[in-house]
Amino acid sequence: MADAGAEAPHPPHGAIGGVVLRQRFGWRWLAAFAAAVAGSLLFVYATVVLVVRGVGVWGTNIPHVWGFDIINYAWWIGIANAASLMAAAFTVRRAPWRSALNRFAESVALFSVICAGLFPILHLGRPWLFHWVFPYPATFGVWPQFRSPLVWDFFTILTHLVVTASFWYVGLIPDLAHLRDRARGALARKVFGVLALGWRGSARHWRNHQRAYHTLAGLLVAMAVFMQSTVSTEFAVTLVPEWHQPRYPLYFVVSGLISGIGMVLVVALLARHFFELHGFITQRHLDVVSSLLIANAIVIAWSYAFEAFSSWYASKVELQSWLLRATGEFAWLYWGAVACAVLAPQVLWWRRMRRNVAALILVGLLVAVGIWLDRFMIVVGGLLGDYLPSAWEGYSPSVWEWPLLVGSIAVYGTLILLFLRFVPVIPVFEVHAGRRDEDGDEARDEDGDRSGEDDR
Amino acid sequence: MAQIFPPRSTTIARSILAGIVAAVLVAAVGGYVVTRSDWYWRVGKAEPQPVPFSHLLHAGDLGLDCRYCHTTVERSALAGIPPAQTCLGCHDGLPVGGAALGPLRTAFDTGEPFLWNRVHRVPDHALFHHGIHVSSGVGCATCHGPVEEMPRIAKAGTLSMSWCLDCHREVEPVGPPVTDGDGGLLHPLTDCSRCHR
Amino acid sequence: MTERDEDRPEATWRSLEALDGDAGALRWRDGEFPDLARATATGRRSLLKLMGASVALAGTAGCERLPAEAPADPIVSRAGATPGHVPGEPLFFATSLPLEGYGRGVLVESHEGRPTKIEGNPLHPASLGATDAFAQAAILSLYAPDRLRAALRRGGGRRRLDGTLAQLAAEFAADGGAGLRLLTGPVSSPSLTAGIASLLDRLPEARWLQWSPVGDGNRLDGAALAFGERLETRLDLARASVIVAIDDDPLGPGPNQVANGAGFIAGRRDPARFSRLWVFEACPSLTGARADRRFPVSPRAVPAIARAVAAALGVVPPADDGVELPPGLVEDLRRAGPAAVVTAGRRAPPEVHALVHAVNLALGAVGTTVHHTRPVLAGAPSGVAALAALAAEIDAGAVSRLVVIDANPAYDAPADLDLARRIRRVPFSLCLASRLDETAAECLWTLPLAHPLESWGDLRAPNGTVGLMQPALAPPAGTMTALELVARLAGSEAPARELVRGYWEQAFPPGEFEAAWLRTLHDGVVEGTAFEEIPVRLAPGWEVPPPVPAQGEGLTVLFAPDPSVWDGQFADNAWLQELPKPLTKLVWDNAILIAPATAARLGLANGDGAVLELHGRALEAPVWLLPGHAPDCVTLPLGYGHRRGDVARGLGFDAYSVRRSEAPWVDGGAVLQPSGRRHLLATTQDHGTMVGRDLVRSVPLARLAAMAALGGEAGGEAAGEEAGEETEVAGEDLPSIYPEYDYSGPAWGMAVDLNACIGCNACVIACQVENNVPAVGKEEVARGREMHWLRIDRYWEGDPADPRIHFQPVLCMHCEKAPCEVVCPVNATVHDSEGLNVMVYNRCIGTRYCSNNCPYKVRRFNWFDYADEGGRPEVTANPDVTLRERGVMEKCTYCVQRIQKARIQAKLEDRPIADGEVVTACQQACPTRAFTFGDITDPASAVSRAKASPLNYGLLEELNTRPRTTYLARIDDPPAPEEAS
Repeated sequence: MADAGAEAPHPPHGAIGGVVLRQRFGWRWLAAFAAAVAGSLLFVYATVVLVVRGVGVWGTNIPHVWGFDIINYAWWIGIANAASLMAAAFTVRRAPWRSALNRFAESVALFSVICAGLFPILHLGRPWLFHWVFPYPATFGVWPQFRSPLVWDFFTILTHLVVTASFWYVGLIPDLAHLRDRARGALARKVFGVLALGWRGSARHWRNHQRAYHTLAGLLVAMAVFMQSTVSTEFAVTLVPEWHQPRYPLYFVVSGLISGIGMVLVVALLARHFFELHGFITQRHLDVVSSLLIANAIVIAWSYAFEAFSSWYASKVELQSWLLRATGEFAWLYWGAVACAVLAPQVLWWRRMRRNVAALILVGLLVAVGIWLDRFMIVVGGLLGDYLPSAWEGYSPSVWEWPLLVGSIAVYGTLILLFLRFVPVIPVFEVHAGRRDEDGDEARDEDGDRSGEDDR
Repeated sequence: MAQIFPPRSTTIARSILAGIVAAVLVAAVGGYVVTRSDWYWRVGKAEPQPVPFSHLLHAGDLGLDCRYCHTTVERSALAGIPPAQTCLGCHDGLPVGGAALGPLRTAFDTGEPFLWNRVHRVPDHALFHHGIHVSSGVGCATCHGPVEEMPRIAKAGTLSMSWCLDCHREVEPVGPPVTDGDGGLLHPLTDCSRCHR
Repeated sequence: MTERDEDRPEATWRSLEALDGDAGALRWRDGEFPDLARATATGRRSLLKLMGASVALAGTAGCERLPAEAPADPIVSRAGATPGHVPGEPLFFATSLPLEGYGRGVLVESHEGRPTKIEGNPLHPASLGATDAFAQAAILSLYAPDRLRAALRRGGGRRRLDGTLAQLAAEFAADGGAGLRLLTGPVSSPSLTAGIASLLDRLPEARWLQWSPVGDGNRLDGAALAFGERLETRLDLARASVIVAIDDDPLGPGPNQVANGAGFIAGRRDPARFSRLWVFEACPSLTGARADRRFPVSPRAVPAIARAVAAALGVVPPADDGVELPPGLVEDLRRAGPAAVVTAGRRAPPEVHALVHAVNLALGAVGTTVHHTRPVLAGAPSGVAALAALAAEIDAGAVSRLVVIDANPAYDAPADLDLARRIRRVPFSLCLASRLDETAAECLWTLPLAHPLESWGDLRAPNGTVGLMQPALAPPAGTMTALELVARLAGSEAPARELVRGYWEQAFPPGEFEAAWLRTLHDGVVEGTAFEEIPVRLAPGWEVPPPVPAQGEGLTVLFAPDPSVWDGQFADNAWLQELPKPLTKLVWDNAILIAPATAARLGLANGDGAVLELHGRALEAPVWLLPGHAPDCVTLPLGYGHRRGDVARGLGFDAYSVRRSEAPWVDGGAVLQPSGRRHLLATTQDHGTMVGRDLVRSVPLARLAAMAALGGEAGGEAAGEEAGEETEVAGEDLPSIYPEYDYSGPAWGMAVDLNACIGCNACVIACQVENNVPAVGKEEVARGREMHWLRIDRYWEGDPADPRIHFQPVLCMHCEKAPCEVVCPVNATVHDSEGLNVMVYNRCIGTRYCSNNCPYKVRRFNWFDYADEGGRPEVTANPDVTLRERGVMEKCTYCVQRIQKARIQAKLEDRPIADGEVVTACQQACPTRAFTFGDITDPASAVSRAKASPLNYGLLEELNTRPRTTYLARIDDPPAPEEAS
């Protein structure tokens, strides 16, 4: 019946719950899931090796003390921040069409922050002592050093995890109740029942829920920006020639944002394709996302330009260091980043491209890749041309670094697949509301109304 | 539709939530207390020793000076554990403690060193110097407690880092204090390099 | 692989201990060092782990043994007290270490009976309180993994040799030692010389010869030509105002490096009388690096240059061989007269040395800058000729017994003599060696040689002064010294101590021997044993025209001792293997050194394999491009390519395999072709130029006076200035957001005098030994993970064909505004109340963020558990310094343990710390006193005075890190423009 509903412009919202409640696992889902789990196991293995033998298993050295560990971290945290920023912004603006994308964004955010959170611990020389970063009254009477961005980072990640998780879950509660009511099996009913925390959909419930939901959203908007700039200080406060730059906070927010949006786009489109959600994720959504991508890409382009300029303007050392990045051993990273993160999104100026699912997915992935290359270029490229030429060294990732990247993506994939399968990918209650708004003539607010205009 | 849960399940849910919070608090407080307890640091616990040497008898009743056996305590990092020779110096002449001293005598005859079980253990990365403490007026008892009352030697303090710092923070540094820009004091006696190098 | 396996000693050898005592030995080992029992596991860098295991069986009598069932971490009551030993306080022994037979006086620091560090002996003329790199590393070779501990018989055997030594002595005596040949390394020891002499008296038929593959005999033979007798030549560079080195390297490694370096720098401290150094050489050397005027010339040109100099000074009639001496050289020599010195190196033929001796005599330099004394080394035949004669005798069957003492001819003899095969042909061969080296493998019997730090003996310094050797720890049972073996063969049973004592008993006036002996042992040197100078006159008809090197086709080949492993005798020492060679910065390898231009012509790049063919012999090896190397010739560093030795085997290539006895130093007609192979060469410095930054600053002598007048900054004349780099403002006046400190007590600082640094590496390895810095192995260095806290940056400046060469020791700057401190999340690196930037290992969680933020990149990280595998058994580590665990950062601490020691001592004596009381390891080892350390708040302290110099500048000071380690710019005397033309 979900299929039947998929054709209708406004299908019965049962279709979404149907995805979850239909108990058959498609073979595609199973195959993907198997692959993802296998990848996650690889991640576990690489981690075990790392902890048993030491960070020396990586290709890191002096001066390149950071490798994939921090590259991946910076990449994931960017996606996480961006996705939650996106979701929160939609919610705060009460954009009526947002409902289709919100939960994808929330989930992407939650799962990426989980992946991101692993790396700062794994990258330590003595990971089993990571709790020393946390201020607690230890018997040796020493406290953390609060001037260090790593301490700030520790807190941002923690906050992020908590807030995003609660945002995600709070948004989920009514739908869990919805599933509880529509579930057939007694077990399923019980499980969803517990998770729904006794939601009965009373007016009071709704009021509190909306209040909580929007408060969290408000929090997230502010924090996503704040947290992402915090990550950037990790580089900006140092005196490494290519890191010590004023553009960094903005640059990190924007570059993070584009990767997050790309990721959301990809996940949403895949879900739409496999679960026939065309009725929910419409062209207007794709257009909105596309324009966001383009806008970001332009700001990133500016950021690169500004970097080149400031390097030239700042000092000879900075310039040499920048040239080394743009023309040296790792030049392909630099230009790869430019091509993927700046140029690729530009194709979305063309309507045909925006309508072409394959193209959109490709752009989404390219952007994500581009930002990863960009992080690589920051972490490694920054130290290529340091102050003392005698200390210049190369860096090449070892066989124990790739599994961490592939593995973390697999972990992410596993979570996404579980999400697609066991949670309503689109907020049922929002669709309710959305439909009520659009059926009723009077719009709830001009803002929503204007954006409610369909540009088809 | 039929109710899935009985009415009391709400209460259960609430109490579970409360329980989680409580558990966290208990763990935190408990951890804080335990890691500072004498039990955790084995304060007052005597180790079994191959020879039942009694500080109560030697330092207490006989009133031997600590330095009679721990000869280098005033000038060296190590207080100095007396060689078997020193013990036998007296005990050869004395009828007391015959059989108990067996291991010592064999050690002396064979030239093999004689092993005691360590009671005061300082980690390798902390370098303690007896001489500088004694010469700075820190008496043996300050750290080792009333040894002359201990039949079997045991720790008198936790020997944890904060236990050391308790003194090092108190003591007035010699000369005018060193300040950092934030008005904070750099107390020379709490420099990491004083003990860790 | 199979070749490897059958190479392994245990495959072909059985030791007596292996047959009976082994199980016991192992239990005993586990008992003594419980923590070492597990060190025998193999795995990554198992090579280095192996060294850890080795201590187990190395000399251990120095400290108590714990029974196997020892409790973890017990307290030990010793059986009896040792007089004069305070538990926890180190003892120092004065002794001497041999190099090329000469002695270098040292003080051995010993903790609880374990040598942990070696310092120079201020009373010793070849040390003056400093050491060279080799001496510092001696601690580790004491624990070489493959040291012999029992008599071995080729192919295994059950006879206990101690019994047979007496029989041997009898056998020898029976026929007057017919067919007996005694082959030793170079010998300067009076007691050993006497011992051998008495042995030879007993065995009139026997013959003695000395062999060193890198001996300096040509110099003495030159004297024989010029003055009619073989004489020692010693330079006094302190008194020289003009120095001309013709393919010589007085500042380079060698028995007299420390004294030469100190003298040379003494002659350049005062700008008023600043010596000028001219160097003609093919391969850049430490001397060449400090030259004011350096000329890369092929070794073929050396005789002609020497002759031209002699001719220009009228010593010999001019010859029209078209040699053009650089302008100003001859004038300089004439002007300096007695204060001038010309010197030629070990590669130069005797005729050239004869010319040089004559020139010095003509200049009046003899007696001021050049001193001739009677030879320090024993008079027995030595050098290639003697060895060739031995080979001939063996072929003739005239040698029935061969005794080799502390020499390795099977490895380091010229290839055409092929002694490996010949020694095997000798019916009876006996070898006294510290490990199963190539020669020991060929000899019928091998006896374990005691390490110099375990030996009684005596050695002469280059000026003849005798330094006594006394053991810092008892040798392992079964090992013996050369002196002992010689005595045994002469039928005496006396232990080494008695032999040495016995010899010196006659030397002292009868009554006061005991007192004198004790004093001598304490001082380490025997008073009044320096040789007095011998007046020389040219012998009639002295001048022999130098042999004109055959103008063969192809490349010229030079052989040179390696700066890290010398002639190969140090190849088993991981510290020296990992010591970056001063100019190439290579570690764990040697390479064919070649000029960039020549390499380009042959289509070779760094690390490319090449086949070198030399008169029918060939070898395959990587090439390394060395700026400043003369074109069309290549340098082959000796000492690598060992076929034996757990550490040394398989490293680098064996240059001896193409060395010919008729041309042991310089050979012609070589062909070099790319082999197509690539070699992994590990270097500690990938990038050799300053890319136009003023990192090493230097000031031309001419400008110095003006600058001093201005009281200005050295920065004005930056080394990088040619590249147009402007010096930026010093830090002090820039604002900083970092906290300000005001220091009441001492605040430590250091000044490094680049003008005094000769790049000898002594500081690097001294720091390593003092601070328990592990060696990490070739693969790790190749990954950029070397652990040295103190490195010497080497920069090329200018034309790759003839660049200026700069050395710059770089250690932690202990920045007043330290960038590393603010980024550490856990307060593991912090400022202390005396301004040190202290690194707290046990607090570090290994984020490595501090290293990112260190502009000097002086921080080192324990990527693996190096301390466990780093080639230094834990029991031999400096107990005052924590061993760093895996995953923590470390760096130079200004030897904080020495600061604390001084502070405690001062406190115990209730007095302030005196200036110069704290001496860092690098400072103490430095032959030229390039380091000054002390309290920078005390304006009178040596370091404050040094920093007051106009030459003082901070590295990267424009970053406002306010480094406490600052540099004194190098003073140079470059050719004035008109000369340069």
